[in-house]
Amino acid sequence: MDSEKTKKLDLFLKSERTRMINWMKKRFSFSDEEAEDIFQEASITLYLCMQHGKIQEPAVPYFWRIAMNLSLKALRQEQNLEFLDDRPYDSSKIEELLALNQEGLTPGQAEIMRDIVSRLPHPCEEILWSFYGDGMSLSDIAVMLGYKNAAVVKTTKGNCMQKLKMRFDGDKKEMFYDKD
Amino acid sequence: MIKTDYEDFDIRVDRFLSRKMTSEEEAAFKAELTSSKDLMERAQMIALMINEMRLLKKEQNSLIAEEVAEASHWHSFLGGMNVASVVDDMDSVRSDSTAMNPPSSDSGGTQQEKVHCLWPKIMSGAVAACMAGVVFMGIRHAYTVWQYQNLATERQYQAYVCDNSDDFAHFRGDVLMEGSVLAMLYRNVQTGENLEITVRQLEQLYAEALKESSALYDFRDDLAWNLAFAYLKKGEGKKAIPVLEEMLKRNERYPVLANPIRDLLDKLYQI
Repeated sequence: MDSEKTKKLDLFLKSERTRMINWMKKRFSFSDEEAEDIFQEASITLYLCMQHGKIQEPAVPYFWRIAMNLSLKALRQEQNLEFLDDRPYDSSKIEELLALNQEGLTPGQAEIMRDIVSRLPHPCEEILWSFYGDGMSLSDIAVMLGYKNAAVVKTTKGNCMQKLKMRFDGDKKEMFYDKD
Repeated sequence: MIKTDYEDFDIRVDRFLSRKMTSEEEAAFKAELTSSKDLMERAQMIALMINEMRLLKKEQNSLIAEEVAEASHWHSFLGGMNVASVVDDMDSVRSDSTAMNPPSSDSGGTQQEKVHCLWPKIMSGAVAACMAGVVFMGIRHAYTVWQYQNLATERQYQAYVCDNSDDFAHFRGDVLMEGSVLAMLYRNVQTGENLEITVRQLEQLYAEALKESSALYDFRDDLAWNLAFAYLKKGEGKKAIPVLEEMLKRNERYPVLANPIRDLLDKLYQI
């Protein structure tokens, strides 16, 4: 990994450190030492991911996802807490909803959506991935991203959803037009 | 026309997908969806988004898990080594030793001639064997040094090299001075500059840091790690072993620190 990337990662970790450790202590009742351990483990994992070219830049949601996974893993190992599930959505409910419309969704639309969610702009990437992808609460996201409160996140999330809808509809039309 | 409150609608979609609705609520929600194309599209878009996120997340998580599980970098370590050239060198040494072989009986000439001819061959064979031994020892030593130095540059260990320059700012008086000296020494370890002096100073400071009364007591592990790396960069990996073993004893309880030390020690034991 070149020195520029290492420097960038170093700055990124320094900027995330306090906020993440405080959040872990508050959210999971970790001690200073436990939170510090998990932060370090998450930092090393992020470092390795960058070193091996799995990601190019240190990204907030990606890093927090690593930390969240490690936190939940630690909690499950130590206290066997089953209720702390970071994937709150029920697969059968997702399928049920997708099947409600008789026309259904084509695989092409799934591809469009995959492309959109993997390249969301800031701050929508952070908010939508944290909320829908990781099942974080609006107040947790507010702490994580440094927003004033959950209400501000809710409004921003609303705007992001609007943009996402516009883009999804636009890409769907484009796909339809291309097919003709 | 009443404008739809999508924020609240999205929350209801969320509740439906996470099975938080009662059966009555669910029935009313489905009826609402079937009566409005707009709401149906939005709800399905959210479901599709969550589904795609889950699939992407699964892929990402497996990539992350690979990194977390990567306890040994032995393979990548060997990957950078020019194994072929070492093998070639050893082959040439082996072929030189054929000079030691006496001439075979069918090579012609009398027994006297054969004995006469044998001595220079034995001498040249002995010289070749000595040279081969020297070359072998040289290669072996260079290879060992190279292995130590390579370990010192392995990326995964760099993550543990502490940059305490921020912490040092909190110190006062003499300790502040020591702090800046430490920062300079650590930089030397990282860059590989002035290793002779750096090792000497780190050895002294580490010995000092092991005393409980020392102002450097809290930094004994940083000092140990940097001293071990300075040894490795100098190609004196054996000296790093006791330092790392002490450090491991102190940090057995903390896997984040203990695992890389153990990993590094395992590699050093094999050299």
